Amino acid sequence: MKNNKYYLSMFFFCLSVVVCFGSIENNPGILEDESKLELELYLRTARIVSAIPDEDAGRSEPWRITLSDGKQMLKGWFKHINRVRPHILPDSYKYELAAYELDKLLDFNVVPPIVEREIKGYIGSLQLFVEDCSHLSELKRKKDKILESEKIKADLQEIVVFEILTYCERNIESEKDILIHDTNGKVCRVDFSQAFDTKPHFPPGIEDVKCSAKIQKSLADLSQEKIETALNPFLNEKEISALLARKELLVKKLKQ
Amino acid sequence: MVQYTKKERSFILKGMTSYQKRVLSFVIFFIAALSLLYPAKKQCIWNGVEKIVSVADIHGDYDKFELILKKTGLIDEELNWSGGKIHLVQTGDIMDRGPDARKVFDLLIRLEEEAEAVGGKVHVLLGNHEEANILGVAFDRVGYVTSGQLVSFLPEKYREKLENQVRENFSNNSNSSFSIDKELKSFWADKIRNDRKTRDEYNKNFKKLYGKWLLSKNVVIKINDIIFVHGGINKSFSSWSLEEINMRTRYEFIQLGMGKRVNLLITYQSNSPLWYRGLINNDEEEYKEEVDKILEDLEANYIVVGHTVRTEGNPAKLSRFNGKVWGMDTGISRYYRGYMSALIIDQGAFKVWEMKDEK
Repeated sequence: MKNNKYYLSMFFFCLSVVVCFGSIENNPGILEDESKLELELYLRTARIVSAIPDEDAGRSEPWRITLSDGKQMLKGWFKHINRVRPHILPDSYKYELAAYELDKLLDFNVVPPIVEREIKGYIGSLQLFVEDCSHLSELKRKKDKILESEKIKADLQEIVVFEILTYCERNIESEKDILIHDTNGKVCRVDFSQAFDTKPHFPPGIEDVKCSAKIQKSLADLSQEKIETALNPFLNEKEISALLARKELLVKKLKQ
Repeated sequence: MVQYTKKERSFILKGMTSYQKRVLSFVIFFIAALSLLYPAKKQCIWNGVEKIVSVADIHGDYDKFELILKKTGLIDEELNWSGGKIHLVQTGDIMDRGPDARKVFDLLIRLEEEAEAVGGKVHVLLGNHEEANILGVAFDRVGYVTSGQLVSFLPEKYREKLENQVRENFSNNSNSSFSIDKELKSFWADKIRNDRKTRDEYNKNFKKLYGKWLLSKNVVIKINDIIFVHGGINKSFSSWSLEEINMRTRYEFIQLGMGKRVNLLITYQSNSPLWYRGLINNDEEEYKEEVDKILEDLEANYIVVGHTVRTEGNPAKLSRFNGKVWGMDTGISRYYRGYMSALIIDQGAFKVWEMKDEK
């Protein structure tokens, strides 16, 4: 009888594991407008199944998070380091949140949904993990044909605009933060924890700037008031004024 | 260089106008200030070394480090250097995760002198955990600074004062279900997480006690034809000379330590020699040409690194890229629950010493 009970409990345990993991889905339409709000809500409210620091994932040592709302399990990254400027070694989850707000203001759709949340007593940013992606650096290394697509070329060029605004330098390392979805070719940009430098000019290494008429219009419509209202909770005065200066330079450059 | 006697020097000064003296003292002051801002060159290449023992990440586990040194013949039962002319290379990350980094530092400082006296050498390299502590940002990450490490680097008086308060509260509260040791551990754990004053006291005292010694350490060295570095060297840094890497790191640490902004080329950069993991994580087949190029640039045949924990157990697996890269972080400390290891290079032959389940 005891043995039967043991086997029965083992069976149900295994079944629950299979059901749980079987329900981990690829992020559904991660950057589609209609799903963004839903995903934000999910990130805010879903139960934290596990939170494991990942030493290999970089200097911010983000935590790998598994979430569940009872219907589906999704993965995320959690960052809680909060060294904002004027610290000499700035690295803050608040810059991640600021980048997402800016992305929304411009209707760029390159930053995966991210929210502020408390996990294990630490307040930080929880961002949806983008599944089935390869980073630009690796694709370039492999000379992957996906990079020959005109759409992806245009998207990659447009991301430069966002990198200028957030002051993210473009180099081999930062190209690891540009993710391209393996099947739908959607381009997104992650890791802004050291972004928003107070330099009022373009980051080094940027020569050509191009973007769609839609983004040009969004930029032109982006007033100081809108920026301040959206980013005041995350950026200081100097960071905002440098962002505004870069935006003005960008608008001028795009008009040329 | 021209050498003047004391008399000659006083004659030169007497012959100067007060304006000239002022200019001279300004020049001397300026040079002295520059020498403080810009670090001096340190030797980072050694040749003709017969035997090398390399030990990777210790993470505050003094007991295991001591045992490794004993078992590899570097110290005797009294903990004195017995390695003769052997070069010991500790490839960084002595700090964090465990309690006893200070004990490891103190042992190494003594062994440096003892080894030097008999023609041996102790090389302590900087790891990313030393970087975090030097820059005062170790507390930002969960689990870096442990209660034991915190207490060991706090100023004695400050620690005593706080501990006395805890003891007093403890004795007044006889209902506490904790032992005083547990109470203290919980007290310090709370301080690590929430108390800026305690963090500041730690950072100040740590720099005061070990800052100068750590800043004298290299990030990367070459012994014979072998590069030793904590994280690794990638394509971006293989074109630098070892001296440039070491000098630049020191320069950035000094500038940041003085609260000055500096263009960070090495500090806190994921591809820097302190953080890079590609030599261990990259696919061997795909990256073999890149590794060959890196070695060619560095004029070396092998690279030994720590930083990226590897617990496969089979010594052959610790080497990669046809034995050109050795990843020696076997999770030595209790925190990682790996096993003790050391890489012994005797007249060019590589051998892994390892010990498991040693309590």
